[in-house]
Amino acid sequence: MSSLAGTVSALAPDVFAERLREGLGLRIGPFDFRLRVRVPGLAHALHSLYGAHPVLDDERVFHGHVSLDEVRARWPGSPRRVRFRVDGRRPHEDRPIEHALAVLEWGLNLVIALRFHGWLLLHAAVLERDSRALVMPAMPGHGKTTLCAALAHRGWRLLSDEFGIVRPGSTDFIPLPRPMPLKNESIDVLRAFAPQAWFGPRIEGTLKGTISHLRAPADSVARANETARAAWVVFPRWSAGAGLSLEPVSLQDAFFSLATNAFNYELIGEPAFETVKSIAGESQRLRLRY
Amino acid sequence: MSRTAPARRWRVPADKPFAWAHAPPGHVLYHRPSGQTHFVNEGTALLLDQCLLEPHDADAAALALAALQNAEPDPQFRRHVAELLRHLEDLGLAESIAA
Repeated sequence: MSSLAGTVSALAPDVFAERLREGLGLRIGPFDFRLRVRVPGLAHALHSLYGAHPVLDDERVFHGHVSLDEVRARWPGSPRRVRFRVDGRRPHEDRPIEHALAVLEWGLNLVIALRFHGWLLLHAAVLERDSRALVMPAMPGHGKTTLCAALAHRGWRLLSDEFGIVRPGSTDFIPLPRPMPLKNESIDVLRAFAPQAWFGPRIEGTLKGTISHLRAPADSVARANETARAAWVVFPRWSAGAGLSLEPVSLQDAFFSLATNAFNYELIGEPAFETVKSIAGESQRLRLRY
Repeated sequence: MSRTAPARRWRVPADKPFAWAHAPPGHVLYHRPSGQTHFVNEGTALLLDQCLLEPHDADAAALALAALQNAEPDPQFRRHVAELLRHLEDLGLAESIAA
């Protein structure tokens, strides 16, 4: 019989580190992953970033077996690297060990985006207030994660900074609260905006610049089984020096942007079409420039 | 010796190939056979959703569309509809049959 086994923070850091080396079941939103991490120094950051997430026993079928290992150097003095695997397969080449935390987080994103087509996966931040979901689809660089992180520290419940997850035929968004990867100037902006928040280490020189992961609020993680119905679809667009403006978006434009910002719209087909139609049709639609 | 191209007629296949979302100022259609989504204007939506339920040649389709849109089926309008029918055929949204 399967059951939850407390949260990560209930485990002492050294116990967590040892469990992580051997493989640890972790519930992240609707997904049950088994993580195995053998990279020196990474357990401390994961213990804090995933402190509120439920630990799982092994008596279950996991959505994926994910591992991150330091790989043996090819020759003396060569750069240290880490290897991400899912179910034993390497989806990409090895990465610098200094980027290990980002590699693990991006790897989880990759697994979710490429595997779980029973859900429609929008590329969107989602937050909730009064059981109503605010959906913010955006291309990378439009300020989605920064705005999402700020709102998550001003009374909105975090569902996800990256994935708007709905079952086809429904407009109820499924939470996937995880650490939020802030980039470059956004890191200090959020440190000043939410000084009580916990940040992971600064990771310099990644493909996206400097990254620091912001821990998801514990309350959002604890309520990860509470869905929220779409009420607002807001397309954020940050640009330096821009004033604040909010304007309506036509149903056609909203449909287009939602569909093109989905990971698996074409794969799901007509049920995705009907779901996007419902989300766009039943929500207030706005474009936010800030 | 010259040959006249055979007349063509266009129609939407009878097996309900579209799902529609009416999204002013236009329309969105899902094309079941290809799995593709298209964003179309009012005229194209009327052609696909009403005018081409029965086979029409280009002139007849233009007349039917003009009547629905309260438009004047002048030569420019007819040429436009003829081009549009060929484009819809290229996209697989309409099919042509021998007249």
